[in-house]
Amino acid sequence: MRFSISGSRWLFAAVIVILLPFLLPGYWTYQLSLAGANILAALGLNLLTGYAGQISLGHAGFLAIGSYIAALMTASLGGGWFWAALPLAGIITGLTGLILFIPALRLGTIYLAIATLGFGAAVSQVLIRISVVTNTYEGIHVPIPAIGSIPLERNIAMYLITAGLVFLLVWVAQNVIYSKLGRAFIAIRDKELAAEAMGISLPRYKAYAFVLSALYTGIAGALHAHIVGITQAEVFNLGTSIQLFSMIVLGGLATLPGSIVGALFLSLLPELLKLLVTSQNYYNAIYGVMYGGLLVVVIIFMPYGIWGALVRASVRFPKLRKFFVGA
Amino acid sequence: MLIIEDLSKQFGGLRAVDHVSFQVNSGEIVGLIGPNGAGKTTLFNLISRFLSPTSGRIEFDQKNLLEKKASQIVQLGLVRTFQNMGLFPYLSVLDNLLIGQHPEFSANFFQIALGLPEARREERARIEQAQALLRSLRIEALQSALVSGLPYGTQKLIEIARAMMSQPKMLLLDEPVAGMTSAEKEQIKKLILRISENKNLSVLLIDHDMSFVMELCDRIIVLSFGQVLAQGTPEEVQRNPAVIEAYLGEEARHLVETGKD
Repeated sequence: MRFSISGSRWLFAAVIVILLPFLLPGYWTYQLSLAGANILAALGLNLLTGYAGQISLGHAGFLAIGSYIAALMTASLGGGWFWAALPLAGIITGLTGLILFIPALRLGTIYLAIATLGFGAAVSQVLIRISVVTNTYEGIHVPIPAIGSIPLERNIAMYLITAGLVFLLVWVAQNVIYSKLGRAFIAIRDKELAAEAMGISLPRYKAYAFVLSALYTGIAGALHAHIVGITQAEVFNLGTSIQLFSMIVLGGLATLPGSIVGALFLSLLPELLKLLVTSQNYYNAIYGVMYGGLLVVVIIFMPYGIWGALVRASVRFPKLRKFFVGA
Repeated sequence: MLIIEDLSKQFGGLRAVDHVSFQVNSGEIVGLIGPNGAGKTTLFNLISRFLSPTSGRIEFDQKNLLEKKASQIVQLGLVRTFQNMGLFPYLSVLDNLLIGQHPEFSANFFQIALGLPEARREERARIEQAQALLRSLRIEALQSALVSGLPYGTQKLIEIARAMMSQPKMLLLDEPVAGMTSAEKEQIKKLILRISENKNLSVLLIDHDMSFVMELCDRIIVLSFGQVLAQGTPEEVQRNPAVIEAYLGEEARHLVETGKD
């Protein structure tokens, strides 16, 4: 089944997204920006894990690399360099994706998961050790993006930039998925030998998947640094990698809307919960139980994730179905 | 077209393919038969380069196949199907057919990612080509169905259709009619005959269904314990005492020869 996002729906979504920061309090604009960065990281991971079947438990490493490249660049050259730092962070991080591609050529699923886990751990250790560069515990203060020398209003500017990139990169991901690339990814995921017999070069397409995935995640990292205004090594730990992985499993593996739903859900859920539960002690306990419980419930009752469950439910309601599937 | 010369494959102490030599000529349909474990699928895996031989030579269309990788074979015009179904279960019938012509897509990464006209035009043209093939097989209604939900016989048919998408010079079919009903077998037989005649396509196929193989093939090669036991026309092979013995045992050969039962 194809869930393509068609013209009118793009426009509808775009209008709402652009209006939101002017309607919501600043704190929620900030949270939505972070959720937007997470959408890009989840998209990147879903391309690799959901579509191409290459499990990564170390994507926080790519988030960190993108974040530090962009942060170091704007911190030393000024906020006006943000526009160059962002794509550069994406491209360089994309190329570092090839580090994981090498083990992926030789290792099966579980072993690759361990190798990527190691990659994530190694990146965070390196960042903590090279404190000359990363200013380990205090972190790097990231300037506000500027046009020329005029700084923008961080909160709203970063929101709109993030939203714009989410639209652009969702569209790119959609182009990739519904092309020979996406088909080759799925072929490699489901039957490597048959894929090869069809003329699909495993090394080439695994390389594409890793570079593309790392590129998306690197851009997410660069955005993250500039949204928060500070980048600290301790943020990019195993927990973050697992969080990203949970997003695509909850939202729906190998679906583009699933990455968006999963990222929004897991990014905003804790914030919504904070509105209800004001005591910090209770909050930690309730969030832990909710998060774990949700994962279990989704895995048991919604094998195709939240998005998959919505699409299935929509089969019974033709109007909903038209919205989700477009046919 | 395909020349196999003195080909051997050793797995530890087992010689799965033992000094095998034969040819498949242009436009010819050749059957590869033999008891279980005779080395038929190993031979297919050697030809499609999933395995490398211990010794020997494989030449296809005047090119040395041993210099090519598994993923480069299709481009030479040699496509195989799989005994246990090489279709991609979570892709639609149409997408499976499109993968069949994967190497012929020429759009590069940026043209695809940015949805440039070249990439879109190419995708549309390939889709039309796949739809035309589905129409000729009268299964165009299934184009957006997921392969995993289709009946076995239909899946086998689609796998052959997918192999045809790359306009090959030769097909390697690993048990194309195993587990099919006789009506489905008849359909596959007609399909293979039709494409072989229309496109002067060579076919090398493995199957255990003797009447299917005997009716369809121009020539038959019998493998037993990794060696070529006999080759010739279906009639010659059926009369060959060594073949009868390999299949039915010594006693049966005796019965056939003396004409008693």
